Amino acid sequence: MTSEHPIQASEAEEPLEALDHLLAQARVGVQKDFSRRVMEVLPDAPWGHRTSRSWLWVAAVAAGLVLGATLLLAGDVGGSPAGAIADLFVTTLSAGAGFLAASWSGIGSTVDAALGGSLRAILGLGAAAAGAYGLLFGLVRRRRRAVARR
Amino acid sequence: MALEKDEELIAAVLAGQVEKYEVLVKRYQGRVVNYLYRLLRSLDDAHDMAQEVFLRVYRALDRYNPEYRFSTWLFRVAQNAAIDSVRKRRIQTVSMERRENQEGESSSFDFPSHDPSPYGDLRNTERGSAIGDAIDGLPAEYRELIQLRHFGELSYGEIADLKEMPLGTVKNKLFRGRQMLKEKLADYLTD
Repeated sequence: MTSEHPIQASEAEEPLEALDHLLAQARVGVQKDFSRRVMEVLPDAPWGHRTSRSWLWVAAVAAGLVLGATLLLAGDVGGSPAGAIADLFVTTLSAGAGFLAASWSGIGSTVDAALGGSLRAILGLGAAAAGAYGLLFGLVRRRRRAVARR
Repeated sequence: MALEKDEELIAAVLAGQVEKYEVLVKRYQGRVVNYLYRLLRSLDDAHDMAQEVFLRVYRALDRYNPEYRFSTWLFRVAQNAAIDSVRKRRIQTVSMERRENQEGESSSFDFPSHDPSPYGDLRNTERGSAIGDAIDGLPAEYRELIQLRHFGELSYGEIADLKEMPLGTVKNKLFRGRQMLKEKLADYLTD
């Protein structure tokens, strides 16, 4: 409820017929062929294209990963400028992968040390993780609802 | 033939019966054009924008959530499109406005003629202007709801959904807005 003075529902719905009539008369007509013109400019099922486009992205990322892995396995890629760029790419991938692995190992050791093998602590961590997932899921769902309403 | 629900029509369109979209367009075209006309003040612009709105909605049809009313979604898209357009127009403005005023072009609303007398058009134009001015003169919170109710022809519930307001607040504001309009248009209400 707002801070405004409340009024009775029946009062709010009181017909102001003359005003309604006047406003209704002010409505304009729609151009005769409007709906036909709309139908003419509609693209072919854009939502179908959207699905294939999203798969295209997945395929591109997968291809990039395969290329990166191939370069990693191939080792030396030569001394040309293109080779140098590829080398940089490989180094970046290696560093990123190493950093990620180190981070996970670090987190793993920290959590392991903190739990100290206690069953209660493990259950507590499990509950906390489930709660965090629940919260995240709730937030994502709310965001998607808001987008759908827009 | 029984009237198909909006959700059924959308499902049919998504299943490949694209022609069903025309039923939806025909169902809402009058309301959308009238609503946009009140916001944009030009019938041609209102038609162009309404076409754009139906196109935008069609493109995003697979994202429509049947949990919500189609009308609410459609009018939200229309409202956003109109706001963007008005904003863009404001950026282009001042010199254009001056030129239009010098050329004596009216920015008032036309009022469709239902009067066969020679003075009918003049009187209707005057009345249309008065209605446009009266609505423009309302505080924004009432004006918006009046436009949605009387030109978008949305129900109280649909307006409450669209504006994310409690139903009681919508009724209160519409009542107050209509009272204000009634006072402003008193001369035309006695005709």
